[in-house]
Amino acid sequence: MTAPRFARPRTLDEALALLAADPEGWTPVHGGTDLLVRMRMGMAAPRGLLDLTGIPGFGDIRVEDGQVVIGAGATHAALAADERVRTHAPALARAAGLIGSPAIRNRGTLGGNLANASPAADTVPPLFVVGAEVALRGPDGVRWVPIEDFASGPGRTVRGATDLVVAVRFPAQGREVRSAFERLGTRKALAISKVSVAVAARVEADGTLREVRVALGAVAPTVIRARETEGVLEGAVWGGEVARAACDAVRREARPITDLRAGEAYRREMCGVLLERAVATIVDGSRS
Amino acid sequence: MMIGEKDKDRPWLLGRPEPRVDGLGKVTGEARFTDDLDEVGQVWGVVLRAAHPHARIVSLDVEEARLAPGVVAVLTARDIPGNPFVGGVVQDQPVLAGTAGAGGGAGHDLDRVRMLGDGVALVAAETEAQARDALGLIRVGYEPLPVVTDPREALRPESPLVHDRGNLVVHHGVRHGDPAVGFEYAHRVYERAYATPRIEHAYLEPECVIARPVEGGGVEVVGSIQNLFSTRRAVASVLGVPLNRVRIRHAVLGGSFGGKDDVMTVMACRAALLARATGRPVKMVNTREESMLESYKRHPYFLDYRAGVDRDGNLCAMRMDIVADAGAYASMSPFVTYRSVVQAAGPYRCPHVWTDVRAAYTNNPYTGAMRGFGSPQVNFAIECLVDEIAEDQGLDPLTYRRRIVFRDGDVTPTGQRLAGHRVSLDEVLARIGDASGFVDKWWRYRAAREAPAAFRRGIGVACSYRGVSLGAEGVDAAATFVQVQPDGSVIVSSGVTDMGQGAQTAVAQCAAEVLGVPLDRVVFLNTDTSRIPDSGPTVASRGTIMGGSAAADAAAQVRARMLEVAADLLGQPVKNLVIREGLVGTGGAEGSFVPSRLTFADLAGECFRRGVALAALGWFRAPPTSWHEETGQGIAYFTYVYGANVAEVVVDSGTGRVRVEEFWSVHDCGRVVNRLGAEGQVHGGVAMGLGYGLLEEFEVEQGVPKASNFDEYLIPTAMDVPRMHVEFVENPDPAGRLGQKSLGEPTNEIAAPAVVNAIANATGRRIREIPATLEQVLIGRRLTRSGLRGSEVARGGEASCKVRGEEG
Ligand SMILES: Cc1cc2nc3c(=O)[nH]c(=O)nc-3n(C[C@H](O)[C@H](O)[C@H](O)COP(=O)(O)OP(=O)(O)OC[C@H]3O[C@@H](n4cnc5c(N)ncnc54)[C@H](O)[C@@H]3O)c2cc1C
Repeated sequence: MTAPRFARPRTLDEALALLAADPEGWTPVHGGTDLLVRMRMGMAAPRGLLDLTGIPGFGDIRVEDGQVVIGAGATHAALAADERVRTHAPALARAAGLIGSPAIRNRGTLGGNLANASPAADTVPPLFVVGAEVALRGPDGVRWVPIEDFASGPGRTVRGATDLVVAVRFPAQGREVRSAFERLGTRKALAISKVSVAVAARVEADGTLREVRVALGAVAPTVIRARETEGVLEGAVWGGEVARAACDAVRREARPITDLRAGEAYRREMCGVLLERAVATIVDGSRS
Repeated sequence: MMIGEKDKDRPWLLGRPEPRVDGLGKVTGEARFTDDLDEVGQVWGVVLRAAHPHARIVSLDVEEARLAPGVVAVLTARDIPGNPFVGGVVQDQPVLAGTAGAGGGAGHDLDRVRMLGDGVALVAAETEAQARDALGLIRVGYEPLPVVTDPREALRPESPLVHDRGNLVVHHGVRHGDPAVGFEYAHRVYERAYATPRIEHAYLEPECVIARPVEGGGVEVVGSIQNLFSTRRAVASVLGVPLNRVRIRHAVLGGSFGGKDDVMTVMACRAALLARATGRPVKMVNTREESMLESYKRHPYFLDYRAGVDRDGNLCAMRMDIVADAGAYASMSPFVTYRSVVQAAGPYRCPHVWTDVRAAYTNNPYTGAMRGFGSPQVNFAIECLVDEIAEDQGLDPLTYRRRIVFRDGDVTPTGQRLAGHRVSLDEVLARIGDASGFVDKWWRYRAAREAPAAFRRGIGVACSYRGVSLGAEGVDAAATFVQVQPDGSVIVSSGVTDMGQGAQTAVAQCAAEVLGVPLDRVVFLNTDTSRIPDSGPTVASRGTIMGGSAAADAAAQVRARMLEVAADLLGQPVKNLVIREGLVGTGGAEGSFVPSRLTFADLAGECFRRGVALAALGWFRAPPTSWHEETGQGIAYFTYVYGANVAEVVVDSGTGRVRVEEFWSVHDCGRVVNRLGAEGQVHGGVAMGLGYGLLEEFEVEQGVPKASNFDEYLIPTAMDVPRMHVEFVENPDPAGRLGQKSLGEPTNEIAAPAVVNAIANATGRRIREIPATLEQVLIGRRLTRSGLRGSEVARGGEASCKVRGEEG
């Protein structure tokens, strides 16, 4: 067991150049809150650590051309506190604020959460429902990948070996389209989600739901869209029959497993409970 | 000289919220834990552990490992010069398992591994990495044996044997009255089955020792060791040397909770063997994964309770059958189950009580001492049961308990009359009822159950009585050495160890109280087995009463000699003299104090010049106890403490999540020695108790633990701990030299039933198996467990799951 070599590039280009020259030899690391744990457990053995914390502006958050653009290096603490994120993607701000503990939120980054591709990654369901895209930058420039196409399985993404995740963007939709996030963990802090649900929708004056998007975390190999549930909710007014039908649909759409954290049947059931709460948050919020 | 009543009645320093003497060092990082220490020339020791939970070792080849880079020594069971077995009660645990012919004791063959945590070989190397690499070169041939994981199955005749002499570790019985007669009077009979989980101590600091060879064939060991004298006994026996050749000390300990006993003894023995074999200092540090795998846990219990209630609502008969999972080795099981059998029926009057508690060997991780020591399990059962009976009787659970709890002069199920101290449980319950507004809330929350609600409130109570110290388990005496320096500063050393619980502050405060000096004049030295007499283990919440009483005894001896000199200097009779706040003066019976110009420091200097002995060894022997093995009758403990907990919770009807919002604890622990320390004990004890009730289970499947670190074994975080209200009912007890008793474990033993009873108040559903996880609360069972506890066949999570959402 030899210690990995270490580089802390000062620019993004420098980082990309190192990676391009020896893609197998470098593993990006930002907060290290996933990678270091995996290394200790013997699940990762990088030959070199490419530390991204020295790149200026890598975590900047901007609004430009009607898009909110978040640098991959933005910490969860920054996301949770940022006014623009709170306005345009309240579900994302809330999810970021619930991750781990203060220490984890101060170190862990959006880019790391995405690249790590855990089905329970808390920032991902919110990004699904706001229609986010992920910017991958490699030697040939930047390509934007829809968030739904980014993770291909647990721990797997479409990121190429010479790519870095550099940013995430989604429409700055203001308070017009609202989003909400609910999650369930074993304890109040420092608990990986057993189930998480994000919902986004526009609520018309008469209560009709439009542009409904629902995403589920920790109930499938990747975060998934619940399209049948969206269909039930689209154009409907929340309550009674609609709520029941939506909960039934979401329970059908979830594909959970039983593990140490929760049973399959419980997870499925909770998708319904959390869906109700998330939609209720959106509907109640539209009234105030 | 004995401490007069004067000392007991008017303490000047006891009860004050003195900051702990080790606090600053711990927060600044100055405190040195064992792993912070290194010896010149030290090598690293590591352990090869078993590959099967139960197997015979048919071959063991260490030759290749011996030749590996950096390796200094590889040891197996054959290399043990003395007794290869250790064990506080039954010597059944091999320091290393070996091949046939490596030795063995009666009924405990050495050529077997009985749990995954067992050690098979030791490697010492120049670096830790070299040592660990060499482990991979050791070849062990195993012949797997059938595994038994359910203690109830282990007691059946057809069960595989974990030890050849049989799987029954111990059987305690209490035979008080005749339940057959008692049940005849029963108007209602309740039969309930309860189960409690195996849990991990979760001390922050994993196990660590450094052993150094010393002349004459002995060793010196420093480590994170709770019970230094037990460790010394084992190390001497394993090396085959007399006790005075083995010196055991502890560095600053990062928590223990009963957990750094046997596992540390084994580690110390292994390090000592390596130190003798290599002639060099040896350091061993468990990773967290090794710690979780190897260390013993709290016993899982299966408890069958049967209680009869007469027409007036009084308990008229109780019959209890309890089985504890001892895991692979006996460890403290005989004593843990002793406490269970004594306290199983709770603090309630009942004329006919028969209790059986058995502990059985299995191939699970072994179980031993953990804060509470056999009480959290039985308290959970009896407190849930009594709560249910109360509700059935149409009474709130607090009022019902106040009707049936022990009062002065009542007789316990072991036939012991509670006398000589205040039996204050009714007072304790009254206080907690007032503080929490229990009765009113309980009825309100119960009424609210009728209407649908997304979130439901509930309030629950639990109470206990607890025997102080070891009781009839064993010899109960302790030593503290007090030395006054010529400048009036004081050094206290004790046979009682501080593992983070605050013993050093409490024991030092007892000495300071009697000497009359401020606490900051006292330095407390870590325990050293070669410099203080064997004081027994620091367990059973006995530190403050035993170590503190011995400190008071030592201080009183020194003070008496000093007052003789003071009398001479001040021209006053000794009986008028008082020392307080470092000043010598005169005092009256009403507690008045008039200081003179003579300071304690000057007096100490003068005593020194006159050749007065300024040091004394204090000794405290507990009052007598007794036990009749066949009937389980006798004076089980020399005195008791009393406590109650109330929990207020909010249950999420949709998810089953329980939030504990508010928590009340009221304890009568005799005289409070240090209010801050006492409150700290309560906060910590409750937090641990909530983990027991709501979160924790160290799950083991076919002998293989499922969790190996704190990412999967979840204990409460600060965010899960409720607002706490702590009160003390102080009835100084003549059993303690300064009126003090015990607190550490009482704080931890009833939080779980208080919470579970609160959940019942909120939902109307009784949970009889903890932890009350989200799934347990919502649907009454856990889906994550593929098998039920032990080796029962998996029922599987995919089976029908009827859960309800909001309207549930
Ligand atoms: C105690 C604890 C609690 C946690 N709680 C939660 C929780 O509640 N919810 C949750 O979702 N997660 C949680 N996590 C997981 C983790 O904190 C998050 O996933 C975090 O966002 C990871 O970010 P990081 O910067 O630390 O990633 P790192 O560990 O630095 O990297 C993670 C992975 O992403 C890669 N990577 C990082 N940045 C980039 C980049 N810019 N481009 C390409 N690849 C990159 C790395 O190579 C690595 O494979 C927890 C972790 C811990 C240790």
